[in-house]
Amino acid sequence: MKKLFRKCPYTVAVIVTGLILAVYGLLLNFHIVPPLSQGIEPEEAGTVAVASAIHELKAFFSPKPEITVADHFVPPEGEIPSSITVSGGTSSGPQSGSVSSGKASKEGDDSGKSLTEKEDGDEETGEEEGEENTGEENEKTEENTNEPVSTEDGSYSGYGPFTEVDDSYFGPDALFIGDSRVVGFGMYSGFPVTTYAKTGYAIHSVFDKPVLKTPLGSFTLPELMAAEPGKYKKIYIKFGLNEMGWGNGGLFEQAYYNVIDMLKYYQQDAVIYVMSILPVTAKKDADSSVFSNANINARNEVIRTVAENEHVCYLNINGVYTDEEGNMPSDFASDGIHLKAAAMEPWKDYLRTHAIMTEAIKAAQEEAERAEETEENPEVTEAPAESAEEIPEGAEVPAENGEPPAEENTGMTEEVQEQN
Amino acid sequence: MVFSSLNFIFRFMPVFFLLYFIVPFRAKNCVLFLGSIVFYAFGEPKYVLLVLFSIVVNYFMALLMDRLAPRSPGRRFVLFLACLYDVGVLVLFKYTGFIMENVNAVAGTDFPVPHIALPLGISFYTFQIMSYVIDVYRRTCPPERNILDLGTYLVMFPQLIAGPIVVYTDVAERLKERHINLSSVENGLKLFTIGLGEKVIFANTLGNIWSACKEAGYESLSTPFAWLGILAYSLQLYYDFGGYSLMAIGLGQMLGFSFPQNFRYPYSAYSVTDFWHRWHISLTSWFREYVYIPLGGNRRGVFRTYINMLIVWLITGFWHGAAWNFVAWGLYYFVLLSLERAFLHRFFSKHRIVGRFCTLIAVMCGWVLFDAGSLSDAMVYLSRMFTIHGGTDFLPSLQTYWIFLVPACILSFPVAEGFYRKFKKSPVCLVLLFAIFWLSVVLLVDAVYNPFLYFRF
Repeated sequence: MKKLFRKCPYTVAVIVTGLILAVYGLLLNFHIVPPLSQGIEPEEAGTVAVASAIHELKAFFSPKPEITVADHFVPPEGEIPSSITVSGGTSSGPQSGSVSSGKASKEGDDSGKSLTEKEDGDEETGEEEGEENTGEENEKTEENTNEPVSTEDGSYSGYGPFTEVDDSYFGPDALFIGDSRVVGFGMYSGFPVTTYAKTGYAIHSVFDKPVLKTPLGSFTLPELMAAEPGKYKKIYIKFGLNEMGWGNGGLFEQAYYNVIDMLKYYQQDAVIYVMSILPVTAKKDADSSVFSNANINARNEVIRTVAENEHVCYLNINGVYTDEEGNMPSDFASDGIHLKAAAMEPWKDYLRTHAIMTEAIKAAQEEAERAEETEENPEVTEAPAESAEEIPEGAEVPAENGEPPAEENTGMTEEVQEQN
Repeated sequence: MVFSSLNFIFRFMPVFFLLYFIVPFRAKNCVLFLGSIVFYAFGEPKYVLLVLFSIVVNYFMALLMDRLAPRSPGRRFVLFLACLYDVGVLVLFKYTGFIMENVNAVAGTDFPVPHIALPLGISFYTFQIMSYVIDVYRRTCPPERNILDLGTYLVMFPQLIAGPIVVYTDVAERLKERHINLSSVENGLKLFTIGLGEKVIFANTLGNIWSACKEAGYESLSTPFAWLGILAYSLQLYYDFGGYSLMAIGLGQMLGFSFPQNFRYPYSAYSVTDFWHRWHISLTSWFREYVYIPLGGNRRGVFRTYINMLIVWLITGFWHGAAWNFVAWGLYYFVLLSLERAFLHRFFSKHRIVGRFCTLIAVMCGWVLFDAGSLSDAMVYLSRMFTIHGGTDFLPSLQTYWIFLVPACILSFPVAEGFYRKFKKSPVCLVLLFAIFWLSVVLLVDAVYNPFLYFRF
């Protein structure tokens, strides 16, 4: 025996550890000893014994943080987001007012789920003006109808109907949050948007998992949002694939509500868009019982309900990525799941035609444009006469406002496209 | 069953080696033969018959040849029949679909294209058994009288499904008599561990970079990402295949055989010629021994030499897969090797740094052809590599995988082997190997459990 160890110590070491693990694994497999760590499913008798032992020990020594979902979003004490001051003084319009009041009402009622009680005054005017305003694009802010308008394409509520925007809408103040498919969008859409997304990011990890790693440290999304309250004017959220097979009993919804509430709390000016989970290709659909298009569609209905209860926009981007059978066309995604870079255009087109223009956004765009113009040509100061008429009454327009309305700012669009 | 699977390491290996070591020597080949059949049947039960049939046919052909006079037409005819059978089976199972598709495309016909599942390892064991009949024909070795020994040679599980291509003469002696001692078991297990680590720790993780490239679509990659992707794929391929070969060699040693080395730091080659002396050595030498030299090699004049090279490289390309991009890949190496034969090799031998650099670039471009899936895709990829496209799409992959990428790059050069040989018995080395082994196992376990809870998207 001693000779054996002297001659081949490595083999002996491997065999001995292997045997110990195998015995322990067998005991686990046949339920003779209970698992050390909670939450680990008992092994089946058919699993490789060493594998069950290793899995068990690994879970015991480095337990994976259990997935917990708070009952509702509770803003940290002492943190007062200050969207009104941050957004440059131009957005004291009804939009931000109604959202903050919505928040106030939410803090009062502990359901923490949605902005159920909006300002009554707003609601009334909204209902009256709703019909005559539908044709017009830019004066939506006051028709904050509380009833979600639900269509095949998506649903909007709170902010007013979808309008068409140009690419300048998708600037750095547009934030995209989500999983690896959003990473791809941020990388290959060419829009200079802010992207807080990472592979494996899930709706229930938003509050715990860092989404941005910098040399200064790692930051979770709430930390990032708290650091720059009111910075973002449009927030696009897209989660869902990593959560497949998890949270069917309402946890998935709750996690979604919490994230939206958190975003509303810190980014009061922002229009929040919740995007549907894109389908997978027919091949992937057949391969996996978890990542099937039937499951994805079921989850999308849940997401739509969440969005409507929260009075934020639901964007059914699947409409432009689905073939007749309800699958992702296979030439859009070489791995069956992730869109190819060349397949971003339908998504971008959809976003361009399904956007909400609010006072805050318009003001921010105008400001950006003004900065742009003064940089290019500092002498342009005269205000076109008609621009004053374009400004809705509710908004307080700064006196020095002097540039053409948003549709005509082609100069900025070109600028943005050059960056692509 | 592959070596880097939990079933192999913790079920097949312990049971098999226990049996193999306790039976008396007479029975060892029998245990090895039966064990290998179980190993093969685990993944491919129905094609076991094909392997067994191949053994029987070639066994009798070789015996028949032995009864005929050397260089007689009869003997040549029997060799022809044996090769016809071996190549025929290979073509039937591997190339029928491809041939049909192309016949349909060229002639406009509409033959049904059969989708035949490729029998595991058929390309490898066909070449091995052919080496045996050809060697018997040439009288380099006598025919094997014991069909069990011949069968053991062919189906021996370490090299059955992915090489190295062990020729009969390499192991003939050991089939009859071999010494198994403790130190060969120890060294074999160490080699197996290193190979396992190469496969699981390097190849599997680096593969993710390459799949990220594929996900994005070749036509949209930035130039740095295109280069990063093909670098990662080059390393992945080397560690995957090289690691597998090393595991096979290690297992062979534990069984008491000594298999030829299959990879010798191919990316440190200073010329493409040198590269092919270092990459999949057993395949290159098989082609040299059984195709190139019988065709006349380089002894029949310059023109015939190039023709022979063309033939060899066309077959080499085809052997790797039934698709046009593999043929293009073979032709690409024919062109490169012809250039080197004409003048470049002399230049590279003198300027090794330049040679190394050019060889690496050339080999990486070759891998694009090899894996792109189609020729047009390969062209798209190459155009992304050699024209300037900005972008930051390579950053996420680089941030996640640099910790694997950097050591993988360094270890693909012969830097550590000297240390290993010198210190392989030192405690530090043992601890390191022990860590590699269990780390690989942990990674394998992770991949098995709850794949959809691992947040891959």
